[in-house]
Amino acid sequence: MTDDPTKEATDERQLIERSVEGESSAFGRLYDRYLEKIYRFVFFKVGHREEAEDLTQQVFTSAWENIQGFREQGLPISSWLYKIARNRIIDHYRTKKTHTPLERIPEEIAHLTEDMEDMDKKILLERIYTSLHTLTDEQQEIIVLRFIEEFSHKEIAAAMDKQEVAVRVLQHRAIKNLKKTLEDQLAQHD
Amino acid sequence: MTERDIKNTLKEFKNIVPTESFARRLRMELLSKENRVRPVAELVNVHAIGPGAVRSLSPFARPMNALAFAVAGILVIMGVYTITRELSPLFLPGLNQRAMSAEAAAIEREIDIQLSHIDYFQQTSTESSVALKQVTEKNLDHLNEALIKNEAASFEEPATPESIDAQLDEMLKAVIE
Repeated sequence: MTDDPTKEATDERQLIERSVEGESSAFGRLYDRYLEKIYRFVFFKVGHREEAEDLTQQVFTSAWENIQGFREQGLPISSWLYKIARNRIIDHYRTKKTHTPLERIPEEIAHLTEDMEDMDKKILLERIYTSLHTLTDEQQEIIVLRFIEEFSHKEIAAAMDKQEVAVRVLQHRAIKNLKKTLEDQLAQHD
Repeated sequence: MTERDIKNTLKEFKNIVPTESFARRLRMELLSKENRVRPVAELVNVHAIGPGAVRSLSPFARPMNALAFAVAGILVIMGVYTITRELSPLFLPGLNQRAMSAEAAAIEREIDIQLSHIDYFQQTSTESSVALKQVTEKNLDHLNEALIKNEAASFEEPATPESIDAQLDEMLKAVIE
């Protein structure tokens, strides 16, 4: 990734064009760029590594098979990939018979916090993870895309098929609800 | 706890990443797949539409369907032919190829006749000019009135056998002497 957003956008456009023409190495570079983001997004939804890997694989396989149908509309390919991911997650929950309880702390989060010396931060991180799952699906997605992946409102709007104004409103409510849930948890423990 | 604290803590989740083995395996898998432009038939989602619906869409599923499809195809071809013919800039409603050929042949014949007339006129013109030239060069002798009269007299008074005999006698006398 470069620091110059214009150069990065141009580079990405070229990678997309070459991928559309069937150049697998170009798609490989797009994969490298978005794998972790898509994986995280899916992981926050399903809370389970194997399931997240399986769905991530489906997302990129589908993207590669349908790249010829992708028409750039001034937005990065990320919005398109997130749309595919959202649809795959919806299909996943539609067909899945048993649900992983999202309230528990998954191995990944535990692994993430095990080396933390600041206990307050560690506890906060785990509470934020569990609190995220008390939000609505849209609020949860907004939190992940905006504050973890640092997407622009425009990108989020494109990924979620919403107006930018609606995304801002949704974001405001999401962070407010998350804060309230965390405060309620702290009050219970105190 | 402020919103800023929450937002800063959320960034820590960026450390959640897929395992290296998974990332490498999926990459290899994707890049090994040939990404060709798929035919329309493959793009039809059989599971979404339903196998029955796809079968019924097939024109050759039943003989009657096949026949109807063939007739429809012929009609479409004829329609396209008619439309393209009428939309052509060379298309004229009164155009008949046979009539045009006959007309062209008649014009050609007429041109041939006119050419033969021209040849004839040219030939007679040449002959006339030659005759006039000859007349001019001979000083119009044949138009001399006296000459014509002498010639006419010779035609009018043919030699008689008596005169010929007398001439022969004179010639024989001369020989004897």
